[in-house]
Amino acid sequence: MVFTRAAAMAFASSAALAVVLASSLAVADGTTDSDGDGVPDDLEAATQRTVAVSTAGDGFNVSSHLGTAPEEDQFDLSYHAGTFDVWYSQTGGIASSYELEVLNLIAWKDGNANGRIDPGEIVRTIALGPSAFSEVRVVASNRTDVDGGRVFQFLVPGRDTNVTLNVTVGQRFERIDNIVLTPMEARLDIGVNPAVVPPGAILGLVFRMDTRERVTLEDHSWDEENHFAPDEREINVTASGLGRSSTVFFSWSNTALADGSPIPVALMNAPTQPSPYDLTLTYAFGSPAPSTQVLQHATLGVRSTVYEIRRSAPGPGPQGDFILYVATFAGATAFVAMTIVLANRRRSRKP
Amino acid sequence: MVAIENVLLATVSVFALALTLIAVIAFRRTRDGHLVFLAGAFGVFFLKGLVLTVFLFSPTIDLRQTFVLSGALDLVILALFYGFTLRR
Repeated sequence: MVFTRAAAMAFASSAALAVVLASSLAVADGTTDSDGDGVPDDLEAATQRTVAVSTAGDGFNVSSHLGTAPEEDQFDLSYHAGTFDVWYSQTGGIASSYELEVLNLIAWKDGNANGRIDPGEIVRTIALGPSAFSEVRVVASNRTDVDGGRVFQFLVPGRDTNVTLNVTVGQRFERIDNIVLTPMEARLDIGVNPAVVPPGAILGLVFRMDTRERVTLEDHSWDEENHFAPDEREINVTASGLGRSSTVFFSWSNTALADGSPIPVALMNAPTQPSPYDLTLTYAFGSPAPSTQVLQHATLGVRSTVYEIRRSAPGPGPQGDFILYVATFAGATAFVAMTIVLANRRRSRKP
Repeated sequence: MVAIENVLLATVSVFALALTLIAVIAFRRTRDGHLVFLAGAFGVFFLKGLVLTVFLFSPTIDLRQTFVLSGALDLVILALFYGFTLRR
């Protein structure tokens, strides 16, 4: 009986210590995420890119670099008068690139209800590209995020105010709304004035992509698969040769915001050889139709080889901390001594 | 960030040492041969804590060596517990 009680005491003491230890360890091991974007600070620090930006009139350039030889890569984004150029290359690798023009706004009526844009169904076309954006000054700004990463923003209002482009690039991961912008990409928010669409018509946003490399349409974006963004589709542009490959991508959300309310986005035409490819995203309005803005989120980015290397790199091995070790040793010794003293005192009180 | 391995190793070492001493005292009082196995098992546990501590503070840690040594000591501990259980 005495043994059973002692065993129970020992078990209870051990359990209590385990709980205290476990809770302190949970706090101690918690990797910090100072900006609350869900990406640990140590990974952000390891993958923080050096970003240089410049603006000139109706264009801007972003040059984003990560690593040192032999593991380094470069992601360049340039914009001029409604057309984006995305280019990526890594040391000793092969470069991939594409050009993306924000081509047109269209309004179409699906007269035969077949869900396709047939000849004669387009009731209005508004040219974008140079027509809407040439000689429109880019407004650049920047700020520093909570974790110290710089965030650069470029605002391009269309000449006729029907379309506004808002581009965001960061050095580190950055939470914006319900997505996490990675350092390997630029977020492109396209705001469209819904008044361009006649009643009963469907809005369409047409892009023209031009590249010499292999293009594939994916049902789910890399950002979605990595939980950085919900529900996206993606077009990958991959260059390969000599046993190496590199990929740049253009992705877009399958949900747009019409006056702040989500509406579905449909891709009307998959890319077909040869380049250039026209991509049309369509937006069927509900009732009532939006009156202020339709906002489409898209992303222009790259698959960074260096990011993947650093993300998958094993963490540091065990590290001795003499003060912590001695302090813990002393604490555990005090705990054991205290329990022994208490047990002896209890035993001596027994008749 | 706190290196948890320090906390764990120190705690394990202290508890293993305390249990070893308790088991030795129990054997000296009762002269029960079974308790030698128990004291031995806790003693090897303490030894393991010491060895891993040395590894922890050594400038270079060979992970394979650590695994082999840790596994070997675990095997000895289990064998001693096995002997303690069988002889009861």
